[in-house]
Amino acid sequence: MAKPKCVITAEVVEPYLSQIKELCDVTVCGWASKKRLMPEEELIGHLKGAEVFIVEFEQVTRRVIGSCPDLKLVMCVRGNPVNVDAAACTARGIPLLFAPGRNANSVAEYIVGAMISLVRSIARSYHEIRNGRFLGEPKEDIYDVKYRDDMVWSMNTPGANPYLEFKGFEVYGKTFGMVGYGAVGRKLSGILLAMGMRVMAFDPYVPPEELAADGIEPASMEDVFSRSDFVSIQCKVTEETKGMIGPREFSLMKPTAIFINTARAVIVDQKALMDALTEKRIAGAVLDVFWEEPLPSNHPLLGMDNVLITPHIAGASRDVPVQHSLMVVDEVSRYVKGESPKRLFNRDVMRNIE
Amino acid sequence: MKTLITARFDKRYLDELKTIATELHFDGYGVHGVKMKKEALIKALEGVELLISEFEDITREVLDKADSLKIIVCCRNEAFASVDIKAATEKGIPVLYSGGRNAIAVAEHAIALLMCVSKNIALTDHLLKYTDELTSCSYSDKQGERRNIISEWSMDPRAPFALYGGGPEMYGKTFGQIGFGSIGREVAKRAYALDMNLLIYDPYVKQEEVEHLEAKLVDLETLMRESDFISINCNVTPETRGMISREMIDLMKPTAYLVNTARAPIMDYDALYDALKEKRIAGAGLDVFPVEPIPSGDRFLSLKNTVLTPHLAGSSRDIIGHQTEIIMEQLKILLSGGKPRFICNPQVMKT
Repeated sequence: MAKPKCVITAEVVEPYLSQIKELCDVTVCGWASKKRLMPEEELIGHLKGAEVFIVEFEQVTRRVIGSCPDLKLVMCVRGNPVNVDAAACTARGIPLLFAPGRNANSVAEYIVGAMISLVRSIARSYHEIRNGRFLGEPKEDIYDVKYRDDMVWSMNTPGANPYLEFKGFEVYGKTFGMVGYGAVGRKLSGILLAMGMRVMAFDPYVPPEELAADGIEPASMEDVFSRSDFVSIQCKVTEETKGMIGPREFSLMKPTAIFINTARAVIVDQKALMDALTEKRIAGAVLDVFWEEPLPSNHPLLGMDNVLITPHIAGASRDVPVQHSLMVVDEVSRYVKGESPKRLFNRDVMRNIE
Repeated sequence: MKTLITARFDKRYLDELKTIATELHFDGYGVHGVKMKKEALIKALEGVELLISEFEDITREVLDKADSLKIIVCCRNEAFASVDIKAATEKGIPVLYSGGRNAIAVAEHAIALLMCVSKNIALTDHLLKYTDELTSCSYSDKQGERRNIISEWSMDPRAPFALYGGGPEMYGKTFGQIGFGSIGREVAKRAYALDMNLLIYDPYVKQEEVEHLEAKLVDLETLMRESDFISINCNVTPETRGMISREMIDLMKPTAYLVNTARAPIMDYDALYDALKEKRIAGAGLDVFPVEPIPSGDRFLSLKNTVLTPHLAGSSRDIIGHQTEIIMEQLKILLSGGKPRFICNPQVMKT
């Protein structure tokens, strides 16, 4: 029997790609081969005769789905397959699979690093010294140093003392509140607890016993916002979560607390967050996602010392493709064996199959 | 016992201190944020039996004039940097210190520095805020209909995802811990929580002391060769000076990151610079430098694969609480005739 034709535009790494090639007749193209997104027309051309399509970033529109009659399975290797028209898949009876938690390690580690970077002024002091502040006179030979038992930049000159200016606090003993306890929350909570933090979480879909078993205090949204030293958004964009964090939530926060968003900006009311930051009603923020990306070059966030901003890279580790490649191999072999998928996104599709 | 306190002192422990000491006088760095000058210090020490200091210089001259002084408590890890231990010992004065007061602060800073450099957190924050590189640009995939897609910054090869994403996770990687003292233990504990495999180099530690971290004690060469992330946390001693030599740095993987929050003399910074410049290692987080403040124009300042902080790893507000807790405990042990763990000159205890 001929192997099913499989088109891959997602980055699938070895040895997993070879394993898929044993099961399917594979074509690798688009983002996977050229790091360039294939336009609709070109994609339709490549998908002629393909049964299985493994995608990462290409837009899979209703038209693409409609133009490829042989397509039987679409897997998007992202945690949320936003670039695939799920309704079109469902209507055609095509299961749409996804890769939940593929970047959970990456995002969890980013949150730990960025949170400490903000409260200990790592990024800020790095900028200041690169910019020439706090530096000493140029020296001919930096190894010509009189030995001192101790090393301090300066203890007695006010304004020249980074040790005082950037004095932060430890995360040890502080409280971390999560909105959403999914793959990232599960990964992150273990690290935070080991670092000596208290962790609480609000997630209406996770039973309180499960949180308690993980050492986490089950909490209401009000608890999370009013009692945490760090509040972190870790949920998906749904009709329920869009704009969920607004003026009321920010008004509950402690003036010393830090707001963290590595999920999606639309969950948060932009004006409410900007007002809370501008009016110093909260101490700062760590933001990796924005209401518009790239961030507009005149956005006030760009001028705020108490905000750490990064260009949507929290989930961008090089180990993410390993995680999703494992999931792709698992799903492709299930498909070939005629087993039902484990990571089904459009659950309502089952009605339309057969 | 008449007492002078020039250290930063956590007031939560004041009642406890009052059960030990009387006539408390607060002055110096702990009150004004500026060290007391020699003359003022000598005057303030008249009749004082217990001195709780931090950054003040307790020199031989100061000690010679402090006739009533019986106990010195220096709230630093490195009391020897502020107190003339030899002179105190000659006078039979025990010098207590606050061992490990900054262990948690340094451990958190070290782990975060590794994350900041390997995930380009500090670099992209800098590029966003202070340059146009990431904001004043148009990307090929953000035109027309795609303008409204906000789930990613851009998939253009010139966009940050391609340029500055793609760093390694710590999860599942090998962590090399050099030095397993108060700070090293805290760093290693965090690496273990990140699901890393631990290699530890510390000739003064036995395998059973690292079992709880499922760690392997190895020699320095093995650690340098096999680790993906390396943290240096040891004191400067004749043994450790220059220990991370050019040969050791040359053993590192091209994908490995290193963080130094200890002291610069432990490492050959020339060799480190060459390795970073020639991309023979992936990056470094540095909190300490051969010359501090860093001289302006220093070559390390222009490297993109480093994150530099100005000797901040121990700078935490929570340290005042830690150091007060530690010294109160040590002081009570000393006064009740016990043997304190953090004493610079245990030989005075015999007399």
